[in-house]
This record gives sequence, C-alpha cells and structure tokens, in this order.
Amino acid sequence: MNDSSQLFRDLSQINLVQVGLILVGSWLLIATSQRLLQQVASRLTGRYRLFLLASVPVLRLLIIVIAIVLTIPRLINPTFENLVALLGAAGLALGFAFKDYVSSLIAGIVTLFEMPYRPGDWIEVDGTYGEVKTISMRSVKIVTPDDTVVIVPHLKLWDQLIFNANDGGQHLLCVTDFYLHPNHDAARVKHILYDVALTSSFVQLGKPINVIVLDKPWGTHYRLKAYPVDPRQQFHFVTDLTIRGKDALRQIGVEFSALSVMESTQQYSGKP
Amino acid sequence: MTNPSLKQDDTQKIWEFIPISEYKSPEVPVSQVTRKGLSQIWRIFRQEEEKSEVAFKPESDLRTLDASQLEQISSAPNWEAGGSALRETLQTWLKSDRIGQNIVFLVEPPHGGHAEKLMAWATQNDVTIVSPPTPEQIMENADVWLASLPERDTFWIYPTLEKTYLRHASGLSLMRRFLDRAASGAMGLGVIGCDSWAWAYLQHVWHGSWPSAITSKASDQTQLVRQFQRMLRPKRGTTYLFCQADNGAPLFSTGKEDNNSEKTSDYLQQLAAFSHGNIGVAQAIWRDSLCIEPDEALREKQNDDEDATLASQVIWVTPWDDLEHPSLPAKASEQVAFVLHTLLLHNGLSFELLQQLLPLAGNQIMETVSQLTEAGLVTYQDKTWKVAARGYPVVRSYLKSNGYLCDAF
Repeated sequence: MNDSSQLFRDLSQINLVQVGLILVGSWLLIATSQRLLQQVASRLTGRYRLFLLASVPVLRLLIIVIAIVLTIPRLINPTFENLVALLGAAGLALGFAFKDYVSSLIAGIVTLFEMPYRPGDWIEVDGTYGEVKTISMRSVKIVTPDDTVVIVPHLKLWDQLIFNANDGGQHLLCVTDFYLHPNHDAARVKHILYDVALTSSFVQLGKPINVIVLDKPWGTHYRLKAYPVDPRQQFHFVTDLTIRGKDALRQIGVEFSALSVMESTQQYSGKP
Repeated sequence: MTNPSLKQDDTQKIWEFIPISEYKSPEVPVSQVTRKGLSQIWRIFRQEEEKSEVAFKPESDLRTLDASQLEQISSAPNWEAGGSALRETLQTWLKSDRIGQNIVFLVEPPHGGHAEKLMAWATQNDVTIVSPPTPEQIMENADVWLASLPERDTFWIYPTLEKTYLRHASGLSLMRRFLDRAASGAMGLGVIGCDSWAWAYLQHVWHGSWPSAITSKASDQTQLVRQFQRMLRPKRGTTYLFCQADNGAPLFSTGKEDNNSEKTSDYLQQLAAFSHGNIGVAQAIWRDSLCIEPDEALREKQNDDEDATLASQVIWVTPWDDLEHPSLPAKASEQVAFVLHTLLLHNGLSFELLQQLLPLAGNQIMETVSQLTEAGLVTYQDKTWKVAARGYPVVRSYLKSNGYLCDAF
C-alpha cells in the first residue's frame, strides 16, 4: 500500500524503463521536430516560413509539458500534499540557485504568448540588431548582419526595450539616407529619390514609398523610406538605393554634403 | 461532364471583351478537385489493381507532332477576329460624346495578344498607329517622341504601352508625360494596349485618373474549344477527333460525330484553370499535349503524295496529369526572381536593357537567363528575352508566392 506522506515512490515502484523512454522519446521528438520544421521552413518563403518557424518553440514547450506530466506520476505519489511539497521545494531551490535562469525560463514562456519576437523577425536588443534564428527555453539566438551569432537571454524582456522591425510579418521598413549640399532643387530631388525606390528590383510595391526632407545646419538630409520584398534583402536593398540614388543625383548635378558624416556615425545603430 | 462538339462555322463569339473589374479566371470546381483527390488516395490503396489497368493508347504507341503538323492542327490564334470584335465592343464609345474619356485601355496578360489585336484593328481600318519610343528616347525623356504623337481630332491606336517605360530612375518620366497628354485629350481619341504586368506596375507610377480599361474574357473550356477549332487548318475534307490518350474520352471533334462515349475528360477544364483562360498560354500547352499514332502520320503522308483527302484523323491528347510543365531550378535564387519579374514588367527585354535595369552583373544575368531558357521558362526571339508561354503559369505563381508585384490576371 502507498504511504501518502511519502513524496517519492519506492525505487521498486518506479518503472525506470518507462521514465527513460519518455525522456529519450521527448528529446528525440524535440530534436527531430526542430530539425524537420527548420528544414521545411528554409524551403518556404513569406508568411508560411515565418509561421512554421514560430511554431518550433511552441511545439517544444508542448512536448516538454507532456513529458513532465507523464513523468511526475511515475516518480512521486501524486497526492495534493505531495505536489504542493514538491513544487514548494523546487520553487525554493530554483529561486535561490537559478534566479536568473528561472527568470529567463519564465520570460521564455511569456515570449510564446506575447510574441515580442519570433524566428524570422529582425530585432534590436541592447544595441544588437539581427535576425532571430531560434528561440530556446532560456534564450533567443540572433544572427547579426556581420554573421555573428548573439545569444540573448529572455530575461532582457523584463527591463530592456526590444525593437522588432517586422513583427512577424514580411514588411520591414528600410531607410536610406542621403546628405546633400543645401543649394539644390529639393522638389526635384525628392521626386528623383521616389523614382529610385520605385524602380528598385527589391522594392515591395504594395507598401508606401516616402521621402522625408530635413534641413540641417550642414545641408539637407533626405530619408528615403521603402520596404523590400523580403526582410532578408534589407541590406542589399539599401545598397541598391544608395548606389542608384547617388547616380541619379549626380546626373542632375547635385552636390553631396561631407559634413554630415559625423552626425550619421553618431546616429547609426545597425538597422537600415 | 459534356464534351463540346462545335461546327466549324459556329457563329458564337470567340472573343469577348469585358471591363477589367469583371475579369474572372476559370476555376476547377471544388467538387471535382475533391473527387480527384479522393480517387488519388483510393488509388494508393488499390495499387495492385491499378497496375492491371491498361491505358487506352499507351504512350509508347504515340508520337508528338512535328512543326508542320502542329501548324496544321494548331496555328496561331485568329487575332484579326479579335481586332474586329474589339472594334465592335468599342463602337458605342467611339460614337458617344466621350466627355472626359479620350482613351480606353486594352489590358491583356502576356501572350494574350493585346498588341496583335490592336494592330489587326488598325491595319484593317487604316487607323493611325503610334510607334513606341526607343529605349534611348525613354531614358532621355525625349521631347521628339512626344512631338511625333497625333494631334487633337485624330483617332489613333497605341498597341504597346509597356514599351514606353523602363524600370529605371530615368525611365518613367516619358511615360508620365505621355499619359498626362493622352488623358487630357490633347492627342484626340485613342485606344492603348497594355500588358497586364506593366499595367499593375504603372498603377504605382502614374497617379492620374485612370480611364476605363477592358480585357478579353478568360477562356473557359467551351471558349477554348471554339478557339482550338479555329486554329485548325485542315486539308480538304479532313475532320479531326481529339481524344484523351489514356481512356479514349473525346474532347471535341470538327466533324458531326455524336458524342455517345461514356468516358469523360476534364482536360479542357484543367487547361482553362491552369492557363487562367489565357489563350496564348493554353495554346502552348495544347500543342505540347497533342500526339498521333506513327501509322496515322504515315497514312497522312501517303495521302499528301497522292493529293487525296483524309476522311478523319484521331488526335490523341496527353492526359492532364501526365503533362510535364516547365519548373523553376531547384534552388531558385533572388537573381532568378529579378530576371523573371523584370522581363514580365516589360513584356520582354534585350540583354543590354536587362543589364541596365537589374542590380546584377552581366555574367550573372547571362547565367540566369541561360538557366531559365534551359528550363523552358524563357525564350529568345527577335533579340528579346521573354517569359515563355509554356512556363508563364509557373513563373507567375512563383513570383506571387514570393511577394513580388503581380498582375490581376
């Protein structure tokens, strides 16, 4: 007969094979589903790719929860008192020993519901900008434009500003800057820059194109705002706009301002 | 499903024009798709029994048609009839007061024949034809081309609006000036032909008030039969019966045979849906589907030699599911999308212009174009690269799924 005050079952009562199978099975399922879904996602484009990538962490959480639910009754006597005692003890131990770790884990669960970032999103956290590649239980892995992998713990979610450039969608606004000598026909330049974006092979024509003109003490600052077809093209898009924009402006004899370099360096954060 | 069998002198219209807002692409009925899906699943479980079934005409017993036979059985669409039908459609507009509406657009998808129909109309009725500017004139925003345009009180036809612009920062101004002028009535009365991809792009380029636009009604299976019948150039007295190769189901005939067959074919319905009712695309697939028995070809040749007539000839049509469509390279890159999209937006371009418009090096463009030509998606004709009619549906669906601007047809 089971003693309800005994937290763990006797070793003879525990089916270690079953527990082992559950753990190994869960691990295999997580590894397989992650690899498979990411492989499938790499063959897809657009919203299907983003949807599939976003489902990876959700599926992993689901498998972990099911594995825990299946394992606990096999290790402990599942009475109310035992569960309270177990959770209390686990909470106390974890609270002291792994405060940040647990905080990240909890934030990881929150990210699954609030979705401040999803795989495929372009985010900036703590000054680091890049594409979200994977979201694990504790952290998010982002790859910067310089192909550097940055691991950001989810606990940043509590107290840091998280900038998400495309927020789960296909549309990511890119801004291309042009710094010109103040003596020019601004209306004509605005029109030319608009056409430069409109004729780019990268441009998403379903989204608006805007040219913002700002007069500065050193000259005139043009901000050409447009969306690329795919967020992953953003740097090529800005490069294309810069090259063709400069070419078009040079053809009408507009001079570029050199004094703006200092300001642009100060403003640069990585995102185009 | 009924197999339409129409007489050669059928008076029903083969060309109908509708406002572009009313355009609707033919679809395969959901019930048919479901039935087909279920039968495919059923076939998986009945593989053994399926194997015992024998095709009505095994593929090995048939051969494709050569160029001269294809010309006889499926010659170019009758664009002249299209031009006449278009003139009839616009009769009311031509005779009305037309207050505020000096131009009408004919918008057609690639291979839909907008330029051919308008050229046919213009030549049949001695109407002024506006020639497109040269690429150099476009880039220089040349006044000389605008100065050559017709004056007020002239009726003119401009078959290729898509040849008035280039997707380049310097390539849009001439188009805008032309449209400003045409819409204002300064050029008199005109009909402008425009490719549907250029039309979609120009909606973002010119922000004036777009005049009304019409398009050919998408060809459904009945319309396709009419079109295909008119493409036949039979020898004296020859009639043709088109049957599906796997089950012998008749698709249509040019004779007076009664259709008593219990077998049915969904080939034409599938063709109409796949080609979006685009006659140029449908014809390209149709030509690829036609086969004859080797001895039939021989018999025809003997008859030719004797100058005798052939009573009736069966043309076998490859079943829809057995047709192989061109496909995109396994790892289609961004370059592939750029080249295809640019070609469609201009309804074909020379290599030099592709180099000018794309953010790619010349060798990259050449490599991509060669790759696409090999895949049957792009063709080279009159020094111009163009998306092939046979590959157009695949290309369109690829660009659409990748988020590129697409036409509405």
